[in-house]
Amino acid sequence: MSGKYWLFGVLCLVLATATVYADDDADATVEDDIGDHAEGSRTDDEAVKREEEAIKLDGLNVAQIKEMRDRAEKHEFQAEVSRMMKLIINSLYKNKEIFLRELISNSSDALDKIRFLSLTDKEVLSTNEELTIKIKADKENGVLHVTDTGIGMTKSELVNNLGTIARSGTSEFLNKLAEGTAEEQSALIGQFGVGFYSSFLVSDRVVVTSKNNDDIQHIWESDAGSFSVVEDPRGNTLGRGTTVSLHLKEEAQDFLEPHTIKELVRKYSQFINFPIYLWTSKTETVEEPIDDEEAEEEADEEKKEEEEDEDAKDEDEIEDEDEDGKVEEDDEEEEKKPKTKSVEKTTWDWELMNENKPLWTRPPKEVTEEEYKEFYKSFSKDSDDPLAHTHFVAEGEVTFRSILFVPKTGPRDMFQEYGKKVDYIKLFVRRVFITDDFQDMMPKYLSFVKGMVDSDDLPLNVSRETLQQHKLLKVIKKKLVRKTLDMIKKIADEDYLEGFWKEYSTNIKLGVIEDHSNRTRLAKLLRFQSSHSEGEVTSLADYVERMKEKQEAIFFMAGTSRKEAESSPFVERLLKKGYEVLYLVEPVDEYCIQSLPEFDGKKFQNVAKDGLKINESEKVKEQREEMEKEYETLLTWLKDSALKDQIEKARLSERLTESPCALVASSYGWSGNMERIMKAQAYARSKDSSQDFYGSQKKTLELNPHHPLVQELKNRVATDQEDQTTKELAQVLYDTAVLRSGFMLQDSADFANRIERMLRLSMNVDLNAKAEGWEEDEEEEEEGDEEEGEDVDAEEEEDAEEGDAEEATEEETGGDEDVIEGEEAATEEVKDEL
Amino acid sequence: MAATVDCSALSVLHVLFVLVLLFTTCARAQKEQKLGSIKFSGPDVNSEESESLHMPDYLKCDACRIIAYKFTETLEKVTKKKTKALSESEIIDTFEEVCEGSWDDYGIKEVDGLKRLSGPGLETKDVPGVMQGGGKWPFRLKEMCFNYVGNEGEEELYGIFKSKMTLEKFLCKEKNGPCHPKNKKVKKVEEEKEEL
Repeated sequence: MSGKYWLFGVLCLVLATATVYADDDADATVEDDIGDHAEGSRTDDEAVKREEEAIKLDGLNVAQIKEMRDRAEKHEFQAEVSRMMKLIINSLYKNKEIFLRELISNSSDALDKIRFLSLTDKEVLSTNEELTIKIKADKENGVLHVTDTGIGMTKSELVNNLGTIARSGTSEFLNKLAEGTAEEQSALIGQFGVGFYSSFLVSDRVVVTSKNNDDIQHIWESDAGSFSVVEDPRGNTLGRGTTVSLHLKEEAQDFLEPHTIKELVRKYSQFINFPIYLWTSKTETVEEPIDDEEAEEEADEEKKEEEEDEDAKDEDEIEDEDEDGKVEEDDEEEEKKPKTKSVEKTTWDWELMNENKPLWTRPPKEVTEEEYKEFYKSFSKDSDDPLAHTHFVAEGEVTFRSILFVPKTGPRDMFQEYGKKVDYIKLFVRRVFITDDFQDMMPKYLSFVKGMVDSDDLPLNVSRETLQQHKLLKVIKKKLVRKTLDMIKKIADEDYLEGFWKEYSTNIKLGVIEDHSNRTRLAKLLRFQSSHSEGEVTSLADYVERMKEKQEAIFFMAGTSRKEAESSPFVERLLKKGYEVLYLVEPVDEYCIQSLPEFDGKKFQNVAKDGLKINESEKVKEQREEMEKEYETLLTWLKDSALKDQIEKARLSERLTESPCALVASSYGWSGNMERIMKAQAYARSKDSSQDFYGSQKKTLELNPHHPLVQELKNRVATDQEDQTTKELAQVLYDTAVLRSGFMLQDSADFANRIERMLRLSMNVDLNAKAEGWEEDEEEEEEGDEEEGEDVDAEEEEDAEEGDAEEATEEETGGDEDVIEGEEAATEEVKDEL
Repeated sequence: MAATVDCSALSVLHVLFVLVLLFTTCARAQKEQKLGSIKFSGPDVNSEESESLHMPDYLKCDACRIIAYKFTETLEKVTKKKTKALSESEIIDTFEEVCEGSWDDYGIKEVDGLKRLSGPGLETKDVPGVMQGGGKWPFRLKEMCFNYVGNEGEEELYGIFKSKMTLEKFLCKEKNGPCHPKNKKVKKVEEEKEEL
């Protein structure tokens, strides 16, 4: 078969000329392009080939292609891949151009990988020393080639990477893609690593040639319906790396225009850290002596070489591997005039399209806002501008450069995944990308921060695990946290509230809880709702500023909503007296405040707990003392008789004005809000002894001596301490205090019964009147309704009545509660049945 | 939870906390006690002392001095072997080691009618009496420790250590320190009993 190559050898002739492309990066030496197809494609032979069925693999003749195709393994795409490709094509058809960004990004990743491997094993680069991305447009054939000298793929990697997608996250991706805006969609495919499939936005057929150090070169080919993989009959032409050849659709031919490509690279890929070259031609008129004989001789020599060389290069696929990139075509080749003459010369050469000097190596002052934004978008694959950025050089024991960004939106699953260590800091060592999965650069609560760190002082040739242990990392980490907090602090007020606080308030609160050493800094970033302003939140500093002269503590009230907190009995008097109260309405808020020892020397006082001190005038104090004597009987009666075992003690309240009473938790017990939160968690966990301890802690009942109900209660207790209705009244008052104070009732059915009894009393309904059930034939109807008793089966009811009548009387004599017979019967009955 | 004994340990009780009972021959008579009598009961602990996440105000001065003592002790140990100044990472490590380290030697004790902290670095350590450690004390000290490190900065604290000023003076006795007469608070055991 090798003999057949000679023909192509002739076609592929390339004149290696004197000019060698000089590049500032030493690794980017550009060699002869033997595979220059612009030359080769002129031949009749190729024209014939083109007339044949779509033959896309240059370097092979029709028979070879046919043979290769016959041998190729055919594969179907995994169902998810097909679905995804359809979605990508349907959702991104207006944004086709992103395919190039995605291919370049993949190339860059592949290059990162091989460069990383080379840190520990220099040998891996020996298969191809160069680390570049090269783009070549073949207008004749309508093919665009993107070639990198990255790590390359083995056969199984080709099948896996380009035929399947990892199941995890697939459906999430597909859903997001279906929902997202065009911009989001285009960012998504990059984030999910499926950018390659965007190739089919512009191509009918995609051919991927890849060579990994561990395998021979293979060709992957697909028309989006199915794909095939076959060993490359041309052998190893790449050395190492991957070429993606897009056979562009009719309407996508514009992507072969150099200016279009340049524009796209500038727009999307300017921050790629590897040189990106485009095969471009320059036409100029030069005076040059032409020596045809020499040229012919050269041509002959090369011809022979090509014949001998089994690894003959094809024109289209492998233009950039180890050839030098300077090719000349003489337009007037045919003329045989020996002397110097003026000729139109078209020079083909690799033109560098990106600066590839990392942004972070430039002095911060010289980088524009726009560049930071573009840099952020390109490396984070985010479609939005960042909220804030910081760019700094840290010096000392470890010198490093870093750019950090606060994204506009945090990761969606930020808190579901909170236990996991995730961060978005890319680590570079001496400009070499090491990993973006370091997991230990940022504390959990700052895991949303994106950015990079490039250090000269970390070792290059160690594994990530070893690096993670490195002593300098602690220094880096500490400085990153400080810089991040500085950056956040500097966000302008309006952006801070609307942009940052809305998105990341929980992070900051968790930070207060978790990060002891930065607590003071984090506390300054906190914002809470406050009685000071209806719609705006306030900082603690502003609160302290507004504090009354003799106010000792920062008052706060926690609840599920502002309305709940505002209408709580605990804030009544404080608000009336003009004190400002913070309203903590997020579940994490109370925890957060509790873990702050103080702010600016001021302690925090939960107004629903013990320890609240309100400045009172001497006159009020005297009045109170008098009243306390007056109420002593009631208070003792409540504690020792009516509400025995339910409360710690009863006392007159300083904080109530309108409500009759409230239930106050001890300073270190749970407030109603905390109880609710903790119990909600308790269901997810198994029994926890501290839960029981705090949950069952008795509270203090505070009475408002100015409230008519309380006054009436006092009067009644003074006359008859054993009266059932008085006890009942005390119990209901207690129950309502429980609810008003945000706690949960231990026995809500019992409470409901009491309320219903009072309703009956107030509406003059006979206390013993029962609900009549439906007259039904069937037996065993069990759906007794406690409140209305409608569904209670007549038969059953009769049975139940007898037994329950006794029970009810028992309870009536023994306990404080009255039981309404009919209801109780229904309840009991249900219990029995169950 | 653990506790150590100043002179000799008699018994260790594991209830909610570890109580260390100690009495020594060097026992000094306390004000209200007759010479030679031994007090066995631990200090009466109020709810703040047993429940609060934070150091009670009247113990902050002691706590600060404990932390300053620990910083100094550890820095001395680390720098003794070295001729050169500590590097950034060594400084960070040292302070982290102190804060993350054990605070189990410390607890509350009644000394001369006042609620005090007791343990290595404080004069109260040598006063006979019962110290109640464990519980939330280690957490509170750790919290304060990190707070000092975070607010002042590791490098700065190391700078003070190298200078003529002591860390105790810098952290505790200066204008904003909890031992400065302006800020210092005390809790008399008697007063507390009256409150109750």
